[in-house]
Amino acid sequence: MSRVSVGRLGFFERALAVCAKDAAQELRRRVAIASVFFFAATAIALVSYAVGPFGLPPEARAGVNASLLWILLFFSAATGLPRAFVREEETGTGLALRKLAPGVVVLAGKTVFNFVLFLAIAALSVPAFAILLEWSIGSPAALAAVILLGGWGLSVVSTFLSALIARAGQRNVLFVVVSFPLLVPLLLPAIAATVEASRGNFAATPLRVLFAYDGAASCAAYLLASAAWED
Amino acid sequence: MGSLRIEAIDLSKSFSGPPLFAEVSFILDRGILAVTGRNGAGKTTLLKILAGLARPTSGRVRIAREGRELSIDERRSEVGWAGPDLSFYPELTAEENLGFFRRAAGFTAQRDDLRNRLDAVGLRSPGAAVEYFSTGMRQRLRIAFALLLDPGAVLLDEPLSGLDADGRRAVAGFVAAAGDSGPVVLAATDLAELPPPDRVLELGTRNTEHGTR
Repeated sequence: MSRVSVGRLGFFERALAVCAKDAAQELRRRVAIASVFFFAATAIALVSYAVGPFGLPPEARAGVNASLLWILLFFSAATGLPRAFVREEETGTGLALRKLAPGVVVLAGKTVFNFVLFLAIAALSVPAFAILLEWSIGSPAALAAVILLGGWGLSVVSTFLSALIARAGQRNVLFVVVSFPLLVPLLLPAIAATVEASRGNFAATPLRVLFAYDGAASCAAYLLASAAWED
Repeated sequence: MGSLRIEAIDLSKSFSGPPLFAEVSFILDRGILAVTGRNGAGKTTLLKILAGLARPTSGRVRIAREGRELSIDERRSEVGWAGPDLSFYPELTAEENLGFFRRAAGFTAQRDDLRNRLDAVGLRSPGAAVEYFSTGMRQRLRIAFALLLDPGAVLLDEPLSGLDADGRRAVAGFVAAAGDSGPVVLAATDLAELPPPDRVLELGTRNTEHGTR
């Protein structure tokens, strides 16, 4: 049991190891990716068929399209993001992970993985949504800022809730019920900022709200990670 | 660097019924302590409590080096543990699993080092995903996991379970070597093929402890 000379890794390297492991698992099994993209594709097809480019008067399009886009992103995320910690319990690997890594490292790594997954969903579904509904985005840069800020908040809260519900019964129902009140304060400014982005405006106030939400959610998740995952 | 000292102080555990075990106390600096008892006596739970993976209903565990109690983070790397409910990522190979766990614990993972650790437990097929492993191969991987961070103390729950004769001899060798340099706690229903323990703690209605050598 002699100790060998080894390099020590910092917080971010350890979190990235968790993220890389999740990515490797997902790329080999493709459970979350397949279900998320299938859900997104189905929802876009149904929305474009039901609403279509001409189903709405021009003055209503920005508001309705922005709402539909975030409903689509939220439910696509709700299909895949909660698997972050649930999968650890399903495979029985949670015990080994709890033995070696603190909850905050695991939460950070899984949040980054979920954020990348969310960005991949958005990168495919937003252009498809815009093309099928002939929705012109006045300020793509503003929309990108909304997607980034909204996506980070959604990823942090979803991942944290995933840690909380991982060992509970009826996890999927519980996730949707618990996430709704926590994510409404994120979704409302995200929709407002998306409406403005489609009109070509850079909506500072909703973006500031999103930024503040992201900061508060990240701090709360950091402080409560151990209690949620280890206890 | 001095060896670790494991102190169990009046540990009790109960779930919803009567206590699983009560007032378990011992101090172990070096050598092998075997925890025995009938099925359901609480051997696995006691080892999880010592490893920091479960909480006792009352009492506490103190793990110290040269009088200084280790922090939770230090205990993660200083105390090796393996038990029957330890699972691995089925999509990843044994080498990828061990590499990930080392990095998640904050240590670098070099391929040669990982392969040497797998060779030491008799796993020589690093290319196969763990989902294709036999029961015995999974048990060998559990032993490699317990020793992954070169721990100062080792807790092994039924370490010979599912192993063939070669595997049992190899693990008995690991246990003997670990007991020579630090504390080892074994939970086992059958001690026949394990190195003779220095002390035996029998969990039951009365937790009795006796030395054997």
